[in-house]
Amino acid sequence: MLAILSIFTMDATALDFPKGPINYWNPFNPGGEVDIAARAMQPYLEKNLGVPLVVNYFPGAGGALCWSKLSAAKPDGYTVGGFSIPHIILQPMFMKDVAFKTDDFVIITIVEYTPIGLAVKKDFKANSVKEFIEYARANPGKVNCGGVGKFSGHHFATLQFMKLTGVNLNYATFTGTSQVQTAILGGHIDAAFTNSTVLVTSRDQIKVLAVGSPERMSQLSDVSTFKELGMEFYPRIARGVMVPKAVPQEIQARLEKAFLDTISKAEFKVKMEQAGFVPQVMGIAESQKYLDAETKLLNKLIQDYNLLQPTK
Amino acid sequence: MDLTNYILLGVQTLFTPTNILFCFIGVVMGTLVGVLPGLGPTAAIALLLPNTFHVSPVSAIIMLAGIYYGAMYGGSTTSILVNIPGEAASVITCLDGYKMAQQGRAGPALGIAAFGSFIAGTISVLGLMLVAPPLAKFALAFGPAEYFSLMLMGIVILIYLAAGSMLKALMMGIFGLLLGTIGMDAISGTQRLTFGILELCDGVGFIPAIMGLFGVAEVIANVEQAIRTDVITTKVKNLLPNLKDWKDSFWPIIRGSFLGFFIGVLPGPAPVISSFSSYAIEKKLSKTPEKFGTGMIQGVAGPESANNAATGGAFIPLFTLGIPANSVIAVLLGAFMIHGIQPGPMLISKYPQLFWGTVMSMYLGNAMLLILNLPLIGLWVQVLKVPYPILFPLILLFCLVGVFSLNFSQVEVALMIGFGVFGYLARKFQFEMAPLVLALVIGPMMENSLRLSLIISQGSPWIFIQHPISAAFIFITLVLLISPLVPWIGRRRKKLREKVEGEQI
Amino acid sequence: MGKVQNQNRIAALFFLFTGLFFALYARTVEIGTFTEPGPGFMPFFGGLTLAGMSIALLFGTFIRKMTELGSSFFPQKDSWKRVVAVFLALIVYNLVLHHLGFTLTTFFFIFFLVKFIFPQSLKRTLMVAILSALGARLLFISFLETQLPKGFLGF
Repeated sequence: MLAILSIFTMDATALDFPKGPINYWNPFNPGGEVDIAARAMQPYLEKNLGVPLVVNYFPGAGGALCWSKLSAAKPDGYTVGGFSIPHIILQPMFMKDVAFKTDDFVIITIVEYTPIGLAVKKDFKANSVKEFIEYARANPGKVNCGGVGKFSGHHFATLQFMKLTGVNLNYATFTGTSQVQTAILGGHIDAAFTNSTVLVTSRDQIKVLAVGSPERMSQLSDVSTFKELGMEFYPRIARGVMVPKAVPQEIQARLEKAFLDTISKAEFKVKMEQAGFVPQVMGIAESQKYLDAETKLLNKLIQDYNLLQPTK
Repeated sequence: MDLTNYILLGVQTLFTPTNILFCFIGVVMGTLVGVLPGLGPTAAIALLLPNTFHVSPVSAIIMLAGIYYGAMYGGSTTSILVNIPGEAASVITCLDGYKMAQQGRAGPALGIAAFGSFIAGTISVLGLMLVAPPLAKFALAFGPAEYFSLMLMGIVILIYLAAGSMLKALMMGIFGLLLGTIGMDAISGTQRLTFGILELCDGVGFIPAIMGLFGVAEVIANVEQAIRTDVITTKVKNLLPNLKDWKDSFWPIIRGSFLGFFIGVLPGPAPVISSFSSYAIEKKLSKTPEKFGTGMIQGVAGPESANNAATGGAFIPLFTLGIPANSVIAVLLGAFMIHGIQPGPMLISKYPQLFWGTVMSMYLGNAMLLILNLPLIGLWVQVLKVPYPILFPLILLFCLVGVFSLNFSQVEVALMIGFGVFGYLARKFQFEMAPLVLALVIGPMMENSLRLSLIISQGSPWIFIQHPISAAFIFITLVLLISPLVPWIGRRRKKLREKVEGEQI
Repeated sequence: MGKVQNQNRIAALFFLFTGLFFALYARTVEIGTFTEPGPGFMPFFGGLTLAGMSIALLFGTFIRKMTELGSSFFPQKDSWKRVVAVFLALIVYNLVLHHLGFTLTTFFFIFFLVKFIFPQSLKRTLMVAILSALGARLLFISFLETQLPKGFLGF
């Protein structure tokens, strides 16, 4: 064990990386969740790696634009990209003309996830998940449930919930989180599966019925988890950093060390929690395991719902 | 009263050397990116964001907010001088502002835009101070149904912008709507007309469209002519609006400010909607509506005030609910979170110095912008004096860089050139550009709202009437559609009467 | 037959074609129904509306008498050369940018336009082109830190 460790550290010091600035490609707009995580990490990373971290934004096609570019980028470790799961799993499956595949990349780290929770508008008749399910059973197809995008984390969370509970919800596709937020605050939709960040921000103006984290979130201490209610249901969007597959092992390891050192710092974790994220500390191996598990789950849902019909 | 205490708190927070400096940097950067077509406030904010980590959140927000409304100020400059809108909200300013510049009145146009923006900005900050929470509730009442009706009304208002044939303007508008459908459909996930080009997935960007239709096309149209010998000469004393200009602009500014502020509270393309709504209102209220499009100062004063007031209104959902009204404010929201500030309804009470400091900085920022921009007017007018053979390549260069720097995409530059060709031909065939661009901007939102409303109502179209606000908009839309026909009917009857009388005699 | 009538006719035909194109394309994606519009809904009805308006416009050119526009399409005989040249310059800029890099491409672009559209003296042209390229580089790359391409020469 020690021998392996010492080889690892020996490699790190002998490695001539990084020699110059590292580019961090953000697949979404500034101010979004990926950006917040990136900016929070930036100062620590720069200190750890000894070079500046340059954040570039390549939003478009829900992230597909950036990831297509990333899969073709030079695999020298100087270009890393943010990502979201399940986006990188689902997009190559559902979007035509997408120029990347999920296994074009190696995930260096998973930094945080935002559990997805179920919230209903303030004056909705149900006060708990149980009542919600009863109401939905009595009114099939009439309960409006909002989420962002088709074939996205929110959409699949809704589908999974429907499968687990046997109810029929009416999924309403919005184009952005803030729109879902506005709609539910204004009572235009009945319910929403949405990110924990929204739940934390608006917790006094909506009823948060449950959240998909394995344990209760400190920011939402009075909200039960789906697990507590007996549902093996952990919907979430996980985010982290990945590189093109062909980046050499030693460089991957060096990057992994830098990120892990950053995200295991207590002050970083606190910052993320305050904003409503659940910080994680996952390296290459763990992240791959997570990715595989998610892929399996999503594939099952796709089969169950027969979602991969050819679009007309 | 509590309010005075808060104002004092805000002033105290603001008047530190750091914060004043940051305010200044913000508005200067904002104006700069506003003037440079294509480069938007988002780019500037993203650029300066890392520099804000080492200072307090208040300073950061002050600077970032300054960039935002500074960009609005700057956007009108290029609209007036070279007929290139800085962003979608400045498209309307091109209509009369550029004509004024061509008549040698660039100074007054720029001046009234600056003053109008200042007054509007001040009014909107006042509004932000006084009525933020109740207005936020008002914003929440707007759901997909209300948005659809609002956008529909907006499209119909586009007809009123037409200086020429209404039919042709409407055709351009519909064409804009159709172009807006290109891209990935958000609701079903299907690709529409993207031909496998990934860049088109998000639709035809309005920046390439604006740069092409207004920038490139205008330059080409000018290049067609032989060397222009009509150099625009302006005497120094004509650099500012004269008394008549002020008289004409007073009410448009007031109306525009209030209109813009209220519309600005609604998340979405508020500055765009408020600017052309203001134009339509001024045109309707004017005693000489047919002169709009030839250089009426009301056509600059109203819209410019409206789009600046809308920026103030856009801060309300941010501070009261933690909801960003547009992508620029979303960056501010992210900045809050990076600095560890929890957005939401408790923001104002938990961080009063943040809110009031920012509010006070807006007053200061608006004043700074005015002071900055007025002497610059003289400078900008000099730009017009640069001989066109040298000026036009530079204009084209700005267009190219502006579009390219958005997404580093050659596809978008190609799109711009394509729009340039189209715009050039459209000019020759006497079709107007503004309806197309505006439809392109609000079309996608309108379509999404329509379909979302119908999903929510499970297919019932009555949702648009059942919601009172939506019903009101639909009603106004119908009135607007019918009213042009009324005088037409009146004229026919008059002609008929004259014919009958003529026969009798 | 007036020029304006011809212009309107050509334009009407263009829009008619465009409208029909969108409407026909819409049939390949789901149009949906009034109560449940699909992705093809807007393109279909919008396209039809546009087509309808084009027909109205076309109609109008035959009914009403338009004023004669004495001028020909291009104001001067050699106007078309300038127009085409500028468009070509833009297209070439777009294609060459990644190969030559921002500064050089800008230099050639400005040089070409200043020298050949409304010809200026060589000295003036060079001065303007060099100042523009360097000035733009300073503004966009150094100051605003925009990521503009470096060419094969490395700058």
